[in-house]
Amino acid sequence: MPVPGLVYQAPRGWFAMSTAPKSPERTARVLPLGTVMSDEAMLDGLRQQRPGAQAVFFRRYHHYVERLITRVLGYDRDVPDLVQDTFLAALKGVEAFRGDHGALGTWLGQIAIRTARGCIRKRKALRWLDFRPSPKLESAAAAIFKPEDQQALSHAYTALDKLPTNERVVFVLRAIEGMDVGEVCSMLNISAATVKRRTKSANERFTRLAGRDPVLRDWLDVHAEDSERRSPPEDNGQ
Amino acid sequence: MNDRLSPQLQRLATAQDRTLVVDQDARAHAAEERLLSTLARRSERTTWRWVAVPSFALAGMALLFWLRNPDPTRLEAFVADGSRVAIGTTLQAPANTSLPLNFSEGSFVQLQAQASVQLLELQTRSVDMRLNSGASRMRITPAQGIAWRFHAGPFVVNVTGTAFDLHWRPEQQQFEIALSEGSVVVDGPLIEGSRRVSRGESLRVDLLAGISTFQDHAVRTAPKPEAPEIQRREPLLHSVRKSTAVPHEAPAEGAVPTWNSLAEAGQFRAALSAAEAQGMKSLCNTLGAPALLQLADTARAAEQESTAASVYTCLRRRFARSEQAALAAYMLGRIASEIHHNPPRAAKWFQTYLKEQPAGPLAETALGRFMEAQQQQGQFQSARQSAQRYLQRHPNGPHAAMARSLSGQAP
Repeated sequence: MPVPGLVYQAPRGWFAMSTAPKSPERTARVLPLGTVMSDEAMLDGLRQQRPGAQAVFFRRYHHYVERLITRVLGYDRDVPDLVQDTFLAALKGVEAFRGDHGALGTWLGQIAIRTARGCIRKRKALRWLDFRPSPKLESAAAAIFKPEDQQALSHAYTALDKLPTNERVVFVLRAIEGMDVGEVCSMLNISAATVKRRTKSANERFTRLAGRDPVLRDWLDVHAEDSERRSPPEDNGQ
Repeated sequence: MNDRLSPQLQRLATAQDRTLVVDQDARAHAAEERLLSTLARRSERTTWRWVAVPSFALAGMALLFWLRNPDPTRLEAFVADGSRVAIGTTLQAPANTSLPLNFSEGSFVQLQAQASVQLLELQTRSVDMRLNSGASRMRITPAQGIAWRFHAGPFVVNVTGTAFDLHWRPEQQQFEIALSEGSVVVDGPLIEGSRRVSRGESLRVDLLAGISTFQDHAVRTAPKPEAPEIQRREPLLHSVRKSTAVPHEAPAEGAVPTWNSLAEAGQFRAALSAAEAQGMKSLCNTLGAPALLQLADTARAAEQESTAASVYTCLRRRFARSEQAALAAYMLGRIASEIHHNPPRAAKWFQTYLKEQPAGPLAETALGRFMEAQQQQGQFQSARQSAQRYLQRHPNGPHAAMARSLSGQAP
């Protein structure tokens, strides 16, 4: 019996056709993904606190918010809580949102970044009180990783932890998320000059830190002579 | 930005994206349930504050609260004249006109002429309908906790919110679904495993003939025979025949079938195994562009996306700037989007196709998917620009509704 509202996780992949006709009695399922509610209708519904609009809002932006927070924090046990905090803050503040529906995503992204940044600052302040071990990838996620990739991710975020928070956030959005300067300006409400200055400073610090870390150095190939010797990696679309 | 560092940091992003995909739907569902129950608890606390008000005001406020917040889960169905439709009712559209069926939360089902539908169940959290025959257009508004099910012959459609046309012809045993919004995954007779059908695509199954056909609407506008390679190559159009039919390309008795003859016969997994036995590297280095494209499509149909991506990449390297290379770029974009859930990479490939084939047969859908990938990355300003470009060129295309939404125009 399906759980109401649950979208089934159908097996991934393209179709595979059978040459032997299956029995017509076999029941099929057509599993939908996505919604038809326009952003404009959704925003109206959010302002009226309609549960349907809230559900659409969450489903439409959950992956985006989760990805942004993960970019800033890395793999972290607190990401689910921060995602919740982001959506709760957004739903609480949507009545005061004055933009149009096209700006909703950017506005939500701003809340997500602010939430993640607040978490980093709180941790830095209470670092001496935190005795918890570093989080590890869940076994299902870990199973798809090469060990060297797991290590590199962990070491990269350890290096990012050493950057000033403002520089870290700009660096992550530019270098890892791939946003351009204008998009970072919109996301963080700062000037282009500030984005460029923080990017440059963060880049220099990160390069220095990565150069001192054997794991990162190998993985990121920061030595000029090494990168010139190697041929460009094959782009296999992944 | 350090040019040496950027591509390597992109690998970090790709590695992170791969972790996020694992158990993504289960995680999203759990998070959604948690969020909605938190909101419900906060709403209850707000409600209880009013209970403390003295009796007159309490009665008045309770009445006001009920009027403004009627039971959100009570569902009702109406026909055009406002009459309620009871459970068990069968509706038949007239011979020459359609018959709309509206639901209280905003969804509607439009029966085309002569179509027949039966309302099987109408509960607070579920709606079941049977399409007895004919065609109907569904537009289902997503609402919390309501599960919609449409039965059409041996097929069952579970819906949470999308728009599609559904056909079931019981005499011919033919099923067809065409998506205009959202996307679905199809599982059923003659479809081994699962098949994703997205906006602008359709799936048709003929149970008696043993044929299933999938089409991307953009491919129907492919150029005519003066570009025979591209037209024959429609990579998104596949059909299979009954195994009892004798294929024209049946190998001689005792002969080992080649990978391409197996692919033509629809035996994609066997075809891929035969290609691998022959040596994929050797095939990649020796096959011509059309055959390489067929090999990549075969790998994709056999659900070996990694192999498919490698072959597409090889094709692009060996036959750069060819029409097949552009097509390969488009398919790499689809793999990045639909299999790896990597919008930045998907956007890059769709953009590559548009640069190489600005007037190509898939230009419309590539631009639509490019726009979608930009939106998924949160690049709303860029997505808006792409949306405006899309509407200028393809005002009635399958992505037009999304483009209007992004550019702030009325639908």
